[in-house]
Amino acid sequence: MNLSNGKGSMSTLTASVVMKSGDAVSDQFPAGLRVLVVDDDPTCLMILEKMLRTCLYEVTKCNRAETALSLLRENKNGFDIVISDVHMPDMDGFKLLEHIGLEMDLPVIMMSADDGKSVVMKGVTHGACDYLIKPVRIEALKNIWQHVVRKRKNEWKDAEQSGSAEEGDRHPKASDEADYSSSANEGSWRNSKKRRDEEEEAEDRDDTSTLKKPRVVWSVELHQQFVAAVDQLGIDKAVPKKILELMNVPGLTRENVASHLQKYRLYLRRLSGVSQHQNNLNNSFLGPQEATFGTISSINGIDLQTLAVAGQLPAQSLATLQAAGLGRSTAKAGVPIPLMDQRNLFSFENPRLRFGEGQPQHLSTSKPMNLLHGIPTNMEPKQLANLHQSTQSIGGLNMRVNASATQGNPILMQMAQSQPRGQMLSENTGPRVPRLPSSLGQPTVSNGISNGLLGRNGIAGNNRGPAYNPVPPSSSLLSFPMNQTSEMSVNNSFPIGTTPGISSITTKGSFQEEVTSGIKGSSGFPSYDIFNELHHQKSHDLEITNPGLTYNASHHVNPLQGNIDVAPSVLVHQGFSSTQQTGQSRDGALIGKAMFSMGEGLEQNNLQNANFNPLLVDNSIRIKAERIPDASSQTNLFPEHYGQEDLMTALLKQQEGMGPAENEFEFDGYSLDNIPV
Amino acid sequence: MRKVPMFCGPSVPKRRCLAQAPKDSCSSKCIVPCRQLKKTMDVGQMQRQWIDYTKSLFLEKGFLDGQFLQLQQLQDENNPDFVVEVVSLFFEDSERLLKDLTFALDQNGVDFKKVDAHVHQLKGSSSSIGAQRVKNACIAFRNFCEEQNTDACLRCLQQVKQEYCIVKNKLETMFRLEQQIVAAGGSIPTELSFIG
Repeated sequence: MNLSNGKGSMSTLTASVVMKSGDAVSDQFPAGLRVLVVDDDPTCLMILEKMLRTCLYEVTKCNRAETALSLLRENKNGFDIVISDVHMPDMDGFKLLEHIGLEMDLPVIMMSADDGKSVVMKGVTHGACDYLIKPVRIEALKNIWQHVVRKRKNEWKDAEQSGSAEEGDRHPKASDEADYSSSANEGSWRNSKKRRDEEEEAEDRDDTSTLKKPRVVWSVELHQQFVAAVDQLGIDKAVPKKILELMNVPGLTRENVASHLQKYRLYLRRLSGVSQHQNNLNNSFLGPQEATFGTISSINGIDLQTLAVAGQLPAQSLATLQAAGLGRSTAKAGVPIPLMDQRNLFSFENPRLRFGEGQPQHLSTSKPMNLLHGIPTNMEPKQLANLHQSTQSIGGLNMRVNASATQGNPILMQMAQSQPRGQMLSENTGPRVPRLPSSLGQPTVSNGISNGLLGRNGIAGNNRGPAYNPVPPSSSLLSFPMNQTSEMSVNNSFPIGTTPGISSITTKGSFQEEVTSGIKGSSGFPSYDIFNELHHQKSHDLEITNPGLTYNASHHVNPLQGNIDVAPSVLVHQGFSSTQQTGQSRDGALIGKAMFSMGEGLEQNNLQNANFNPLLVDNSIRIKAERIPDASSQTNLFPEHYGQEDLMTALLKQQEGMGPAENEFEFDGYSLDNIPV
Repeated sequence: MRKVPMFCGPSVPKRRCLAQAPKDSCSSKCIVPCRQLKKTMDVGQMQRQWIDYTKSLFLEKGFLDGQFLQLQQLQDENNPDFVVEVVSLFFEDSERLLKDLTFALDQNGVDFKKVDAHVHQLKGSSSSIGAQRVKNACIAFRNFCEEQNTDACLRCLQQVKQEYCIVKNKLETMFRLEQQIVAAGGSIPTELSFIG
């Protein structure tokens, strides 16, 4: 008998049975239907049981809702349909209805002596597939099998349709994200994501040959709820069942939650995972200018989460990104780094990063990060430690900056990209340092001049300023020299080495390349030390102010002054966007750092070529903006990619009193238009 | 035809009305009207008697409705005592409910929600077995519960109890008849076509 098979087979069998109109088969079908009857009235229960038996159904009766639920839970596929009374002493019938719908997704028939319209309507709204008025006649029971068949049929159909529906949903979501990022790259990134989604859905559809529950579309709100539930439970303890209960969403099944949780776990792993991946991602993104943004966006997404966690980002955007992100596994790859960085940044940026934006929260909140399991939490307040981590944290710094600055500014997310930078930093001891500044620098840049500049730089809406803690210029600068020395080779492009200011930056392209190469391995740590020192020196301003300066320099990556144009352009994009936060008196250093980090990021990602150039331009501009010491113009988020290095050089230069850099601040020279954003 | 002496004298135990409240009393007599059964009857006669009696229950007095018929139709060889079982269950449940209702309405602060819940359940079970008049009394009862009119509720409770008592007696009588028929070797007429 069909019914005795599992649900899946039953459904198929049922369908075939129904369709076949085969005499024996269809005659047989309703017989053997496994019915669970729940009613606290023993008289009714007995009568119903007898009636159902007469209909040749397999009947199980219970007089308590709790008993019924446990029966259903123990035996997931043991029943085909449930008939429940509305008024029961231990649990409301509608509540039971909801539970069953959520957990087992079985058709439920309500019944009652109450035939009032409101009660019947309630049954409808709660999803009951039928409502019987007592006294129930056997004729009414003879036909309940139709609900079973109908439900199966609808599930198939839903499974098919939901695939396309989901695609539709995802796409709009993606476009929403596009709003945040100004880069076309993101769009392309999303597009590829969409393609992936489509493929997935197509596959899912294929899988729906057997009976499947209707697909659930994980909307932003739903995902938010999910994340909240997971947070509440703790990622380790989050089991689908509990999550489901916490979410308390009617119509959601444990299976839906389970699969979503699986995806979410993968996502988290990715976040905490491969920095290289991130770099690569960044690199790839760097290609087109937008690419950087694209990366940023991806990072942003991830960072968003972190940031959001930190409370900085509006949950909504985070959720959106997350939701989208979850679907897009690849995009996330880059994220992990930022997260790490972020934390690092937080740890050491704390004192300053937040220019009054309440960033300290971020910084102090390493907790949100904890969400990401894999992410190393180097949150050591010590700058030194931070510095070290700064490579990672640079990214994070940016992130933080972003977060704080722009709460939800999409650009911030881009800053998040700095995380990838951070990763790069980790990878390359040398360049890393610069990274920091970039992230830091950005915020500074945004203030004041940078704001304007940044804006022009095309950092679309990246006025994330506030969040950026200017990378301690000293540090950056220091590191710069370090870089220069240790990584001279690397920093060929770095103007730092060459020019007092960030001349090196001018060599945009080269810089980038250098950065990448250099960063990759050159002085990494040593620079860190310097950086640390820098940090030390400046206590909190270090981070912020200096980078700003350097950043500015770097911003000016444009040949104008040999600022860290190279990276900065990239950084600028990213950084500016983030650092543009107005009012952020981020030091150029910070920005510079940010830029550097960005640059590094970029470079590490093999930016080496060309990609940076356009970015460089931007960076340069940005750097200029940041140049303004203490200028409110905290540079925006430097593109994490490579800005860092450039920034570093810029910062360093600035520290050294790079005159040119300052000049550059006036953004006049810069054709901001150049800054592709 | 076997003649079975039927008399409802001492051998027929008086059926007590199970009304719990002292005031309550079944208005009707519980004893099977023996007068009708004084003569020895054959099975056929008993069966006819049974039909008449049942008919009266339905059509004339409205104590039972079509739902009861459904129950009877559910009874088959596999469950020969189905109807009796269900009705017995109904009796137990109803008595419990009536007791609770009496108690609830006796309180200083009457919890009408609770009272209503009880009445609702009684309504459901009585309708399930086809005890029509009890069900109707319950419906009236519920209306007064909504109004939170204690006095009216008490009167309704009284009414419900009364109706319950009556139908209980009737049913028990009928069962008795049935037992006798079966004991005499006959079978209960299944066709109650006189019912609409």
